[in-house]
Amino acid sequence: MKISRIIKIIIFFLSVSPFIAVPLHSQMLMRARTQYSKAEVIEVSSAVPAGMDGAETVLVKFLSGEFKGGYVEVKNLIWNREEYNVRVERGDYVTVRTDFRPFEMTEFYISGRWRSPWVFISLALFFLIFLFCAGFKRWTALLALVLNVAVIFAVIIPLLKAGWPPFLTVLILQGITGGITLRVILGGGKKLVCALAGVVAGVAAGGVLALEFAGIMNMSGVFFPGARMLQSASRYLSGWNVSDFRGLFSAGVMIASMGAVADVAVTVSSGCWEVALKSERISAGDIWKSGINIGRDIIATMLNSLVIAFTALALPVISVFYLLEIPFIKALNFEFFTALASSALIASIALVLTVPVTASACGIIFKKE
Amino acid sequence: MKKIFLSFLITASWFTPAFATVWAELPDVEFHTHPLVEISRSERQFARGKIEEVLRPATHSESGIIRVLVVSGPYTKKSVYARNFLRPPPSLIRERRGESVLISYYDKEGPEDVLIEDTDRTGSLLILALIFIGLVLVICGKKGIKSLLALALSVLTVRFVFIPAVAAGYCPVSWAVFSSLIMVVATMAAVGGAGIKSRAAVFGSLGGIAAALGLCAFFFRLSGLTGFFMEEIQLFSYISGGKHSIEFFSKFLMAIVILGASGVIMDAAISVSSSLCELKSKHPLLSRRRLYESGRAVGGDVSSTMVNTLIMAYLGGMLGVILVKNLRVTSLTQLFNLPFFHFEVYRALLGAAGFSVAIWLTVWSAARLASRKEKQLP
Repeated sequence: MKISRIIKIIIFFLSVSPFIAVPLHSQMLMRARTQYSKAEVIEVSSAVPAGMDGAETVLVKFLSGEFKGGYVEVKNLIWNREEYNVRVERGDYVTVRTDFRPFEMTEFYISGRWRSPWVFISLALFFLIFLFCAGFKRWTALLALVLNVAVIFAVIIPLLKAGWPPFLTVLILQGITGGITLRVILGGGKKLVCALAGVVAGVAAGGVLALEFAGIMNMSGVFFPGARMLQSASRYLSGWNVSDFRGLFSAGVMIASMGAVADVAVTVSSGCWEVALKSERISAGDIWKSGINIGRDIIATMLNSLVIAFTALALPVISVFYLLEIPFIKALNFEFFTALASSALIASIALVLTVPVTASACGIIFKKE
Repeated sequence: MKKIFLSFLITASWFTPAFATVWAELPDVEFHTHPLVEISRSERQFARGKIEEVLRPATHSESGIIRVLVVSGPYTKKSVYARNFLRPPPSLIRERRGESVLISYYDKEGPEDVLIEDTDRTGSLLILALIFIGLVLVICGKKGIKSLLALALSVLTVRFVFIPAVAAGYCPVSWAVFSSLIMVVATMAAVGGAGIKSRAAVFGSLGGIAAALGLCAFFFRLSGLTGFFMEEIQLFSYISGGKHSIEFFSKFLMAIVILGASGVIMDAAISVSSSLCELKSKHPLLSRRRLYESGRAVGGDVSSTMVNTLIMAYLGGMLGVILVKNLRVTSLTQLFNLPFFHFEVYRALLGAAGFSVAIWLTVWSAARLASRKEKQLP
């Protein structure tokens, strides 16, 4: 046979092999897997009274998944502590977890109530309330919000999971989504350029400060619940490659400051535009001064929003510290607490820095001499 | 090796309370060895110190010995010998001269059994706080001082009014509303004074908080959120020895949502109220209808930009946790039924809904109040 023919056959097999290997591989993975389905409770066969441990047997009818339409007896684990129990009666909708185990019987457990419609209803209700209160013309703002959130979940999280450098990835992606959000709010033109400059500067400043202080404060970045699992996963599971935990912290700060920074940039930019519009001749310095003045008013209010939102994030932890009467020094040094406190401070600093940057950009671009 | 670890990981994850919606074992079985509980039970005192000399670096087999100069507490300026244990990577103590560390000791006529606990981050936090305050003062001037004071008051209210009340067992929701009221009034006093501006802002804020509260009560009941998906709430229940009912923790969750949103609600109400009153003072002949329409325009602007602030702040703060959930949650069905997911979504959306209502109510009341002919503007 000719060499070229041999090469073509080899190339053919190489290119086909993924399509054979992947289904085989996932076939192996499919053997031990878990599936969640919706089910309706028909009857509770052996109830466990409150205050006792045990497993109730509940007859359910599957409404989704592989067993749709079938009647199966599932287990409901009951504990002597009522707050960890799911009490069901006839007609309730529950989520059933099906564990397919290789070489063993499939097991069914009630994993909780079927709650999923309510999240979507709350989303729809939020949209309605927002549009009613802000005016139906503001639907574009909701679109920008959805875009921001979608980019975080669909782009940023997978990239971070794969091990892309957090600071740069988040900076570039936030720059893009920020640009789109600003475009939606401000329309095109010079205002957009100034606001975008402010946003990028603010977010970048936040990220850089976070990285710096994570180093100075000797933060490992491994402070949030489940962080150790992430470390193990990155070491042992393919597809998971999260190694830069300080970078992760910095990415979190950047995302958190993004909203507030955009708000400030928009306000200062619009305000400077109005000021420049009203005068026939105005110097860069005067525009800058007006920008700073406008920024002053808004900083005061935005700081409140940011810091109180972060405090609310930390509330469960703070209350546990208080109950346990942990000395303040130790609490302050507890990495979770430090991370939240420094995130709040750094995001606020980024916010404050945005004002002069936006004002300068406005001064340079809007001046009329 | 990989498969063994993988199956261990999967089995071990059964016992992680934060992620399982069904518990193979009660989570608080392990709480007596929880690090925080251990700290609280032990009688160790904590102090800050500076490393003077590393006599023996810490290794896997033996602890390091380091001479530390105590910098805080009753033994300030005293040099003590402290043991240092090697920690899992990324290691936290660099073991260099001059490094700030946190030490713990038993106080028995002198520090005994001194251990190096952790890096001392208070110095760096202080620097960060000073940078922040400095920047605010430079850019905002005198107004900056007032806003910083209002901010400090808000945080202190949460820490010294709300938390103790909740720890004592009082209704978390009432105390959250009460704390928000204090925060609104204090911020308004710092920013505006006591005229129509403030009244409209307070009315709008309270209305927004009430709306958020109502929505929370509705959705939390329907989703059956008890709060016990969160490790901190499990700890809370464990520490208080079952004193509080399940409803208490549901209410605590609602209080968290309200307090988080109250910052944004407060600020939106204040900005809208200020803009409207300024508009009225510049154009005193505007009718109530016109004022209301302009108010709606301003409110709409504030809404659209601020709705991003709240939601992004929460997402950024939770970034690590979201990544971890990605690891544990395998299907969309599971995700949409997870109590954690519901709580996070409600926290963001219902807070934002409350703030939209707050803006609308502020516009309505500011327009009404400012148009009354017999009242004078501040």
